[in-house]
Amino acid sequence: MTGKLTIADYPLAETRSSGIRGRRGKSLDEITLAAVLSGDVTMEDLRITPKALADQAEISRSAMRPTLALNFERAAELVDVPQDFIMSVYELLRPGRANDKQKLLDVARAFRKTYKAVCMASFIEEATEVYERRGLFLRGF
Amino acid sequence: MEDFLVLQRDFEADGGLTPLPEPRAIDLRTRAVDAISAVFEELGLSKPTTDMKQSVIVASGSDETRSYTPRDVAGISESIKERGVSVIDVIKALAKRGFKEEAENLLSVVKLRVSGDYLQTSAMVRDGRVVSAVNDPNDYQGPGSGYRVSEERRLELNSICDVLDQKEVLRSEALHEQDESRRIQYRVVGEATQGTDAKEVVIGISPAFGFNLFQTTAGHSLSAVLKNMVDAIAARGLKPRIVRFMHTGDTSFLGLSPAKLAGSGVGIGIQAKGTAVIHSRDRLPHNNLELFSNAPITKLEHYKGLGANAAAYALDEMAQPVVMSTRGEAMGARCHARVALIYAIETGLTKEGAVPQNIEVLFMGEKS
Repeated sequence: MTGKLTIADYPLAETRSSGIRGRRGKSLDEITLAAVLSGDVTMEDLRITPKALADQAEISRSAMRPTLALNFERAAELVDVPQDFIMSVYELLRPGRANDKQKLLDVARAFRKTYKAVCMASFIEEATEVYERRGLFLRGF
Repeated sequence: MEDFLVLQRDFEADGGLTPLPEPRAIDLRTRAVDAISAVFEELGLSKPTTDMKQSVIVASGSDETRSYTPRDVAGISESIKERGVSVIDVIKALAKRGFKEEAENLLSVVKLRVSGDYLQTSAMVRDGRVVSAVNDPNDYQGPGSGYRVSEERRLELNSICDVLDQKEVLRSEALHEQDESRRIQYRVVGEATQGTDAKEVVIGISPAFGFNLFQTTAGHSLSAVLKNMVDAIAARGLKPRIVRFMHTGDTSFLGLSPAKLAGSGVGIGIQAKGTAVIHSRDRLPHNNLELFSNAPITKLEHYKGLGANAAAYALDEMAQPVVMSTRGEAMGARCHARVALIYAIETGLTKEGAVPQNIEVLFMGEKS
């Protein structure tokens, strides 16, 4: 397990400010007020990458917070998933929104096939089982 | 708030409170409002008026502001959305209008998004750095462990004191002056001398009473307090006489002196803050008949009872002392600073050897 980040590497912005990069590859060190004013910084430079989220997952694990680490890993998968799709899934996961388990299974498949988001896919599949057991598909709210 | 500051200081229960001095707070608020206005103008979103800005700077809450209406806000939001204004535009606008510090600050906030350090458990940003359960874990293992106030922080906590001064007390009292002047008039009618009428009870008022202090610490207007006492005395067929003493602010002497002047030998002494005594001329200064020392919880009915009891003593009856029930309210800590200043205002007006003056009191605005 060598090479994994630990709590000693935290906060990343301080320990590796040149290694942390935005979506276009610009490092934190390069994102300065001067760069903003000269028009060299775009919103893409201010967005987190799957890599940074995976790094935070390693740090969480090292801090004995494995559940939070899973959360970061799912977040890393979601970076490239369109906002609208995420919001529709979010709505569908509310109790009673999906009338049967197939709707959620379709979502899981879309995550796996279309977005290569395997953690998200199994997360939704797990939710499907729980929703079925708790009767959350049939009850309308 | 004051209570928590005391807990912080005396029990070292650090809640992270460090109050700003008022001028510093006003400076910051002014700069913040100017900065936001500059951004609005620079981005062509709106142009707030001086009155709008000023009302926000000094407001204690949004009810006190004369700023944008919800409809104005909706319009501004709509154009931000339509034109796709981003935080980068805001940073540029700030810098262009000379708010470099604010521009840097805002940039440092959005840069937090890139590393995601702040997404870890219990994260907060202190002085530009992310502190969370990862790099500052909870290491509490029982008494004596965990977070301890550092020596530096301890000294800072000790030095926190919101300054309440005489000027501030007088300023807040002055807010009641006009209302009081519609309810009561005090007129000096000459030197107060020894009375001979056995039906006379003298009420001694303190130097600042109704002069530059207008409320008891319980918030009763002094006119109402005085009227309750006067009416209660008159209700027993006795004659209340009001005398202002300028030689002392001390309750005991404010009570004993009128007792000596009263034909009945019974007097009431009352300070502007509402502390009162019933005294008898043949008693030692501190050996009064009744003491009303809990001014912050003394109600008008208690002052009425005070007047009635003074009348009863003058009629040689054994009065039932007025009992003020307390439920263990911590009055002292809450009122200490104000009371000390009120007393200093009283004594500041005293003159050694000043002769007592008869005061004719006119209660207005209601039937007596």
